[in-house]
Amino acid sequence: MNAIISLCHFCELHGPQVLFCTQPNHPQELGSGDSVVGVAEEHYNTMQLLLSRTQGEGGAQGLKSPVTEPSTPTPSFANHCEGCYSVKPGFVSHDDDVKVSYVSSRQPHNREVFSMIRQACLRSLSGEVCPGTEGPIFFGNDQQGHVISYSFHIRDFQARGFQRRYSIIIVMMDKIYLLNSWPFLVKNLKIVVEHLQEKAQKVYDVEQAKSPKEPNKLVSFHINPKPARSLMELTEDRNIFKILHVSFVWILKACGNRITESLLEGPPTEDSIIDMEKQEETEEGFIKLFKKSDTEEDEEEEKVTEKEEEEEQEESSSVSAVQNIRYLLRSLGAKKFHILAHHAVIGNQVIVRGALKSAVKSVLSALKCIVPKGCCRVVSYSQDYEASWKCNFLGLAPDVHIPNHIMATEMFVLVEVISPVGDNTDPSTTCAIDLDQLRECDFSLASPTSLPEKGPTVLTKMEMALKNENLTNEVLEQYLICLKEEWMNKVKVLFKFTKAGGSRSEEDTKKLLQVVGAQEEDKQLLKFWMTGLSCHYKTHILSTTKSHH
Amino acid sequence: MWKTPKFDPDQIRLVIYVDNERDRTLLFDSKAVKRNFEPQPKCYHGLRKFVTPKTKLCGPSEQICGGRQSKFLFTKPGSDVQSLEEIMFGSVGMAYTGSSLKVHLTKSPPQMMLTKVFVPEAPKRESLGSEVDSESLSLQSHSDPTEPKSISCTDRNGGYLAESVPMDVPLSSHSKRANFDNIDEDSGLASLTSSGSFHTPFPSPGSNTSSYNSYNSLHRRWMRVQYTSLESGLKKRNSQDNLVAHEQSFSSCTTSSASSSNKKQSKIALGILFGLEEDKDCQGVNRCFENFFFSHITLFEGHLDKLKAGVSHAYHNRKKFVHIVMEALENFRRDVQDLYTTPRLSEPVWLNMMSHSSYRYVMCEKFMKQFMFLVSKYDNKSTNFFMSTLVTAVLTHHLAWVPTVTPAGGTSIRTYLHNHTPNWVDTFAKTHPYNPLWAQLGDLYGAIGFPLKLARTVVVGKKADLVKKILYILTYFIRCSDVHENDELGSLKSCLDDLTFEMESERQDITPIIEKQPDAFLPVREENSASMRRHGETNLSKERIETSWNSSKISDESQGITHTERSHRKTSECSGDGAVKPSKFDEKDACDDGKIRLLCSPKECVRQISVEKELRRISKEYEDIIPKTIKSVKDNDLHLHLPDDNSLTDEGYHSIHPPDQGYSSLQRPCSLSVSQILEAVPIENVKNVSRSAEILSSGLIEIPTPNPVKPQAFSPSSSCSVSRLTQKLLEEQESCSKKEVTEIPTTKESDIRARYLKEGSNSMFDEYFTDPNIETKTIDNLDAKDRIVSYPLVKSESIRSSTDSINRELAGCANSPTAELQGTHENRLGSFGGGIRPRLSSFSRQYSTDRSHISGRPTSIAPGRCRSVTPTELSRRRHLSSTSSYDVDLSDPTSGCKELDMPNFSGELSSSSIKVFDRNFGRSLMAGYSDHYLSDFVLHGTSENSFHEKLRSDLEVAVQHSVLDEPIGEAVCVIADTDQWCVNVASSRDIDKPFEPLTKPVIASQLVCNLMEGVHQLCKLKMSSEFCLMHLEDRLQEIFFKSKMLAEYLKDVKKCNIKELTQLLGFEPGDLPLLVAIAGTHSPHLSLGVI
Repeated sequence: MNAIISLCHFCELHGPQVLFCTQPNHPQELGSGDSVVGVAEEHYNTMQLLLSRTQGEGGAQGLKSPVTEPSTPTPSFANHCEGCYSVKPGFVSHDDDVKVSYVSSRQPHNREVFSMIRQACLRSLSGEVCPGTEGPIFFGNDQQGHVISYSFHIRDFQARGFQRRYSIIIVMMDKIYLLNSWPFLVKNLKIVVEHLQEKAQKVYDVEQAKSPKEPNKLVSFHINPKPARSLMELTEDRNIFKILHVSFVWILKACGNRITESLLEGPPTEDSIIDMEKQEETEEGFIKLFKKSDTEEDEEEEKVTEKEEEEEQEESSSVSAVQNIRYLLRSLGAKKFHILAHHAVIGNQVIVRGALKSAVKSVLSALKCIVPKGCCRVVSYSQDYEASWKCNFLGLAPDVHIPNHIMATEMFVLVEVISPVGDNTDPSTTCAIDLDQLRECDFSLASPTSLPEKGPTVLTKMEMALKNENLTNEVLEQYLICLKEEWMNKVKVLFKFTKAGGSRSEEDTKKLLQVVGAQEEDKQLLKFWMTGLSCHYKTHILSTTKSHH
Repeated sequence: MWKTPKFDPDQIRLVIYVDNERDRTLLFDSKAVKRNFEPQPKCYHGLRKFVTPKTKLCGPSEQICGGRQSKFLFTKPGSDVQSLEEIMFGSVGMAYTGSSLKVHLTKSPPQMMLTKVFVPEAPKRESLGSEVDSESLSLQSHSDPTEPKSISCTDRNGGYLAESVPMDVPLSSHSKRANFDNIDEDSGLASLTSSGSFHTPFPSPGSNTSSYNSYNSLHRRWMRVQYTSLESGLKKRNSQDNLVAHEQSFSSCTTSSASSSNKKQSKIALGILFGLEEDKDCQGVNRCFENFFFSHITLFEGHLDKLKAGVSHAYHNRKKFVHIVMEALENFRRDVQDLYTTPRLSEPVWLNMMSHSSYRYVMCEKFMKQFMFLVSKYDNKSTNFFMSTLVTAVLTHHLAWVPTVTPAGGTSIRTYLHNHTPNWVDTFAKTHPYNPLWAQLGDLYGAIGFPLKLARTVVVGKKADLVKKILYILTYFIRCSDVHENDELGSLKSCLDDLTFEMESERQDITPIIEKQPDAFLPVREENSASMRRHGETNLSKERIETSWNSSKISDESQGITHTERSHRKTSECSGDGAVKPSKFDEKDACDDGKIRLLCSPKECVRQISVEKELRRISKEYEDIIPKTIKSVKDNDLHLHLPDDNSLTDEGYHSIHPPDQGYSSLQRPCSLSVSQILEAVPIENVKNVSRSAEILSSGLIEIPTPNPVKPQAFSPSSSCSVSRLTQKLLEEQESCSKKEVTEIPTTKESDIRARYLKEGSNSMFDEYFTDPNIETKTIDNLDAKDRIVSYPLVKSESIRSSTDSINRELAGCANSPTAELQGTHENRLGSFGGGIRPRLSSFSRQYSTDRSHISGRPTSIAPGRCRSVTPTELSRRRHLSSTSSYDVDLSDPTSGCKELDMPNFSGELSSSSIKVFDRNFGRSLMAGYSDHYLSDFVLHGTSENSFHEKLRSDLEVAVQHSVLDEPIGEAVCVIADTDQWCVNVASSRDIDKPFEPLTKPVIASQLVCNLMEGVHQLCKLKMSSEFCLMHLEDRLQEIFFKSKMLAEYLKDVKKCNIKELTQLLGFEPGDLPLLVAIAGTHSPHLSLGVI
């Protein structure tokens, strides 16, 4: 809790005095505040600017108003007697779990805060009137903080009226929080106060019994020359301030933890779930139970390619992939690109062959961004042909032969990357070649399969966006995310409908397609993208279905 | 379901006082005003008694009425008016005279009192006109529109009559008013600019781009915590209070009494007394109201502000004072009654799904059924696509749904199940406790975007059944976090009881030693005592049992030696600080200090160890930095002598020994210019020093092991105690301590280093832990030229790294604490990056190192682990100690403090959702169907359809008095009319435009229409309700993505053509307001660029 709890005392000689303050501290933040000033100012300024724009000319003027330092008398050493004494230098408790230290000392270490506390102390003990003289009151304002003050009396045989006036104040800048916590705080302050009073009462009783004279009020009032006694003496407990420290720490911590909240955030995107699944696989070295069983065989293969993939991911961020795909579109021409992309989004194997390893990789990564992550099985650069069930994106060295039976039957598209440098490039140096090299490459396209005339709706939209030069790469990236998520949502519905919903008639399916807004030409795409759903989602859907049927 | 709490609005009593120069007068007491239903023919006095500030209130019988025929009958005010006056104003006039809020409780009769003391604001119109004319003009212009006819009618007569009566409205009051006007003007501006959480000059911990939700949830809470933090000073606010205070303090500073007294004159105290049940059996009723009152205080304050406005209006319109005030009071009563007793919706869907997740399936079924019913029936052309339009409006303004669909960033994969709780929440709440109620309130009002916008929704209609259904559906779309209460915090009482026992035993054990202190020091061999100490420490740390006592006793004794030295030093320091203190106190002080040291002495071993490690590490780390720093010290002619082992020993020995030589001898081992120091020492010091040194010499001549490094550590610090030293000397000290730090590890033989690290560090650091007069500042508090070390000022990087570190910490803390400590530590260190590592507070590093030391042991035992100190920190302290005055910022406030264990909290905290309305806004601000319009509720239904006046004032108040304690940019109200099938939005921006309609129609967003249609169709296909709801969430997420795209697009585009924009990005113009509103929650930079 961002609060300071203090014990205050009305000293006969010195008036209201702050005796003892407890306050939480976050050590790790002490320094960081300052390092940040430059940016913070910027931040502040923009906010001010925004505010003034929303609300007319008001913003700037408010800023100008100088803020006054509350004028408080600086306490000097001479100003303290025993009654005003508490601890030196103080106590500290470390809350290790949350890295908060609670510090108790005679006064807060920050000057401004101290003057605020002092002000609160003055008001608590002399300015404000508490009905019934003992009990809680709240007062305050935004500038000098908000205060709950619990004033009370401690029995003192030697004091005027046989009692001394104390108060415990809780100071916060957050008025709402403080008042919201009133019932809790007051309840616990009362416990502390009663604890003190009980002890003092005992001492008082003993002293009274010892006293030879009749406890005559007038006499003791006149005779008593002694200035205030310390709280330790009044309670006859040397540890009284330790007790206070512990109580205040307890209150601060408990009040901060008293009410908690739970809030929800959305599920991660399908893509990021896939990422996490992959990560978990590779980290733990074995396949989790939700992993599809039929891919077990790929496991080793995947591991081999893993390293490469990681490298690849690092060197090409998604933005550059977007850049690449735009370039690909330009160099292939809209028509060829459409064919290539069409193959890619419906799951036909895309084979990219070329001498420049980096160029081949770039082409693949570019194509990846139009397909959901779950659908991308990539072998980025191989010396052998890999079957389409292992990878739908395959990069090959230039002289790798594609098996004849594949050439004859399989659905695939072959992209030859013709680098301007020529084939004699040393493969070891190609790795280091900059992505810009892609720009100098030429591509040729070949596919044995003929595609339906009309491409999937989503592809058409993507192509339109790609061609639109008004969209920056960043916007395009967001746009692709939108489209992919939108269509993955349709896929989810379809999955639920077909896999989890039991048997469905043809008619129903047709209707469903209509409902999700998919056409005939989208069917192939939906089917393929369904394979890209994360295992988590699938198991989740299947399990929820089971539980309710 | 709903049980209306017991409440009588007549329990609410209003008293108003005015505070003029010396006078305090009761202006109004609702107890003394009775509504008079029969016309009162007679009237004894004028209105003056009540309305004129100057007259004292004499309290005889019944009196006063407004006109010939008053609506009110005046009786004797309450007997407690005198005491109430004191309570409200306070007994002593405070220097601060701005407006302030107070809460008091009175026991007999049991009452709760809410007070606002303020300077009344004059209505603007008055100030514009010329003097007398404006007066009468204002009277008329203010008279009727809102008031009931009966009053205004009689009043007009009464008003004119009263004019012939000599009124106490002198010219001076007009000038007074002019002053008010200034304030008014200022405050108007100030309320706009008063800083809110957005202004806090701290970065968001999640501001790195990877996390989507940075801006919404975590950011908001983080900002709030930082903004209200007291740790690093105050964040000044430019609120109204502030301005008034400034003005006041300014005027009180200036000697010209005329203006200042003028301003001081009129303060009004407005007190609301809530009568509570006196019956003991009704404690439950009282508690309920009390809980409600305090949790909803911010709403109460809003109504109080409304009342305040009414009263200050009345104050400047004296002839009708009572009527206006009564009117305002009636409104207040009604509002409070509404707020407290209106039946709440028992089934807010979203909240219930959150807090009863096991019944989720059933709730899904029910919700979908209702939803589908409404969509199929009322979402068509004949109803203007009412449902889609309504949902569009709600989604646009109640934005709290956005974070609930925002894809989670780096959460664990296991959290994939619908929406889920992010794991930072808990961690963050623990490390930076914030007010969940505040967060929840912000959610409910949709105030999470930028600029902050408060939204409410009213469903209007004659068909109660239909309205209720719609309300039910909307509770799914109007979302908020749920608040939980921790049940098992334990009680402070039991905590205290446990505590005292432990303390007592410790005390008894230790005190005898203190009393015969001098005798207690036996010559103990150093090696032994050291090992003993460690021995004792471990024993003690395991359990405090008697058997371990002996060993710890020995350790105490050996410790005592160091201790006495310290007390010696201490006294000299005290006296050096200026001999104002009585000498008697000095001794006592030192003695006290000694006791405390003794109490904790076993713990110091741990510190030793940690210091040792720390030093080793740091000596390495700093090797490359320190040479530079030495260069930066201007004084180059200083030579530090570092004698070898023996000579050091001798000198150190001597330095303590000869009592009469005082300071000069102390200075010897470090060859500083002794003469200078002597100059600065006041004569009294010598006396004190010698006396305390006498004690020392008598009791402690046989200091068993001379310590090679002690004297070194000694000298700079004792010079520190001299309060006024020249800057030159300071620098010498600096370099001295610097060198001491650097050269020991690098240039001296290894065994000296070892000894230094082991033993020397002890005394050296003790001094800094115990000396209250040595204050420190962080390096950042110094002028740049004074800095010893100049670090590169890294801006954005440092932000990112620090925010990263927080993120990481948060993530880290979520896991098991012990295992995590080390890791977090690493993270934190790493995150600061090489360049800025030394800069970011050595404190944090120490702290973390500290943690790493103790991470192995169970935290509950926590044997006195103290912070270790880095050399740089030491030198900084030395550097600053002499310049700083008594109360100075310590860079590390914990230094020197004795460590106590954290109080016990019983086990794991278990929490349960708060079901009752009195402490959960989610359960209290969604009301059901009511026969009249209600003010505060986020959502409610009503049959009333002509509430625009009330709405207008509500919107106005909402912007002026922010319930969230942050400046509100706009307040809106969605009005869904089921009779007309139209949805409108009223905005606070339009309330001042008399020629424009208050409300504007809402156009349905195509995205929302598609969403509704899609879900509807799925439902028709007999997909499970749960899946339909999941799909609904998915579609909402799609909308969120679209807004991200839009934000990205608008970032680059300066001028945007809406047509082009929609074509490019593929949505319709009708979607734009929705998408822009959403964008305001995640990309605040652009929300103002559009539209």
